[in-house]
Amino acid sequence: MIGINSTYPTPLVLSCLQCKKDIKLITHQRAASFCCEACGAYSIYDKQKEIKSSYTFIKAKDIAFKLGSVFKIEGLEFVLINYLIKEETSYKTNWIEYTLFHPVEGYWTLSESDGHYNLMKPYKYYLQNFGNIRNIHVEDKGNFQLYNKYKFKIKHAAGEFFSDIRDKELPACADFVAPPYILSYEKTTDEIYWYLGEYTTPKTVKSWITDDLNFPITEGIAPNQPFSLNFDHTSFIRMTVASVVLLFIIQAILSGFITDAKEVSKQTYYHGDSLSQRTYVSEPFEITVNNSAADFDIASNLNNNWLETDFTLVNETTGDQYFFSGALEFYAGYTDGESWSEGSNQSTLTVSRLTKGKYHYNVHVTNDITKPFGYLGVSVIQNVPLTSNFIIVLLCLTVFPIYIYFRRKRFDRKQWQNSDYSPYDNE
Amino acid sequence: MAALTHICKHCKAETVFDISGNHYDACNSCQKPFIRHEAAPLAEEILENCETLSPIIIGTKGKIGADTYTVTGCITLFQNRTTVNLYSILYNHGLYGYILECDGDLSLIDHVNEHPGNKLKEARVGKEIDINQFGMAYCYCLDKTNYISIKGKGKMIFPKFDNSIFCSFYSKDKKVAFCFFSKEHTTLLLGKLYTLNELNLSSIRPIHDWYK
Repeated sequence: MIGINSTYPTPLVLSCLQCKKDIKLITHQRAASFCCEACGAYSIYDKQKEIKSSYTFIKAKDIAFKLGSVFKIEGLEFVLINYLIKEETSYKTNWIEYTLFHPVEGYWTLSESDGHYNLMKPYKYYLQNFGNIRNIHVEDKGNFQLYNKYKFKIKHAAGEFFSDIRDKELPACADFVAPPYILSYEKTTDEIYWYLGEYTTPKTVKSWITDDLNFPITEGIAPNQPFSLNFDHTSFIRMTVASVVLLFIIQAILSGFITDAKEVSKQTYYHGDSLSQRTYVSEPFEITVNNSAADFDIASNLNNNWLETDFTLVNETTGDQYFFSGALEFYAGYTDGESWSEGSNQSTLTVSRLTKGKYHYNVHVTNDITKPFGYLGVSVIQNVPLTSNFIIVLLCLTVFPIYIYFRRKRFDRKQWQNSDYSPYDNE
Repeated sequence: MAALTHICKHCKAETVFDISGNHYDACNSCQKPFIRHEAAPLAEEILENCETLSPIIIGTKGKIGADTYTVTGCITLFQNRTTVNLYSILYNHGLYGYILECDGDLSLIDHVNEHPGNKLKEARVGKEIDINQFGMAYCYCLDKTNYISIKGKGKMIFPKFDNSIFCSFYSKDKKVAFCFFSKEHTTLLLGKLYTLNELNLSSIRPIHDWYK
């Protein structure tokens, strides 16, 4: 029977009306027009076998893919049947759209802009009001934000097309983004095409084809490019907040157990000579709790003066020694009608992992030889809650999320800088 | 009463009509297609040798629920913006139905209304319209049919496709509607989107290496 075959019709080879070079039409049953890749001559292809020359496009440069290339996407063999270089009418930015055809899936589009790729599939979206809509919801994909509204002109073209691409009416277009997805429409009086696209890395695109090709260098950030650290950021923030809360709870519980903090030594040393360095030895005292921490509260009566203390805590039972140091400084004055002060006459030094036993300490004091310090008081309080571990864990838990937060914020700002609808414009 | 027949203008062979009403068929002898209109039973000039790019061919079989069907023919509508294949399918229970294929979308038509009223002429791209027996529909394409080609045989749901306006709708729940307008007639097709697998097709064109 005429027009019925169990195999696909073979491609049709025609001669370009202008340069006479062969043009291979793979979808000639559907093609309504074609453009010669060699010379840019554009022709209307009538189904009654008439070819009418119509226009000549300027030949495009640096096209990554060859017409007729086979792309194996999701296990299906698509053929590249045309490409269009479009120019946005306001900002004159360009991008390339490669049309891929498969007999079952129809037409998919691989778009490339500044080295970033999107695989766009036809989509049936139900939007009634095109007015000032800024956010739309797509089932299974989430909320999309308006990125841009624009019109475009076709600057260069090659290949076969299912309609006359030189229609007079410029389509009104819009892009909505929810990385890694993009939802776009092109609307004229006669049709509206919706496309749902997904950001695709050049590496993935390379995996679809067998040809060894040079891809354009990737520049900037694409509107729907996902943030490089590819995980669920909302879950990450929730997990961090939950961890910090849990940490506070654990700290509160542990602090609750330590109820018998007790002063075990209190001594005062006076400055009775003119030496700039001296060492005091404390009376022995008992640490009665194993594996505990102790605070050494040091105090003085400095006035525009400083002193440094180097402690050696000695376990008289085991001979273990602990070295730690601290400084006090206090300055005050009256300048330009205002009194001021800085520093403090008190400080706390904490020693951890002390074993039970009899201790004494040697404290070596250094100070300004011209300014005696009066006295140095040292109180030892055993079995104090240790906050340093808590702070270290808290820092570990929060530093990475804070780093991610600011990096993400910077990424988002950069991503939206080419949008007329950036949420960061008012910040 | 003698059976109604068609005399082929190309080979003069006689073909007996075995489908009632408006339909299309091919000459038993030379296989040239013809359209039978009850009102004016003359063969129309239609394109020949126009193939489709769809895997569905005449003789393809399918199954929906308990019903099996066979594809008997196809009208291809060449439009300004796209190409539509309207397949005629004959169910095991003897009734004809349709599968409409357009740019990879497959719709099984389950209702044909030849008198849907004039309200559909108010359809505008990107706007909603309430269609009787369908509900709220979103109009996404208005296209003009320039030529048709015919393969096999089947019911003609529209007296004349050439220069008709083809209007496409979808709903929020995967239902689809297609309307053909001409000066004299309006025909509305209602159906639902299906994937190739959901149509349970067999005897289709092998898709591997389709481009070679």
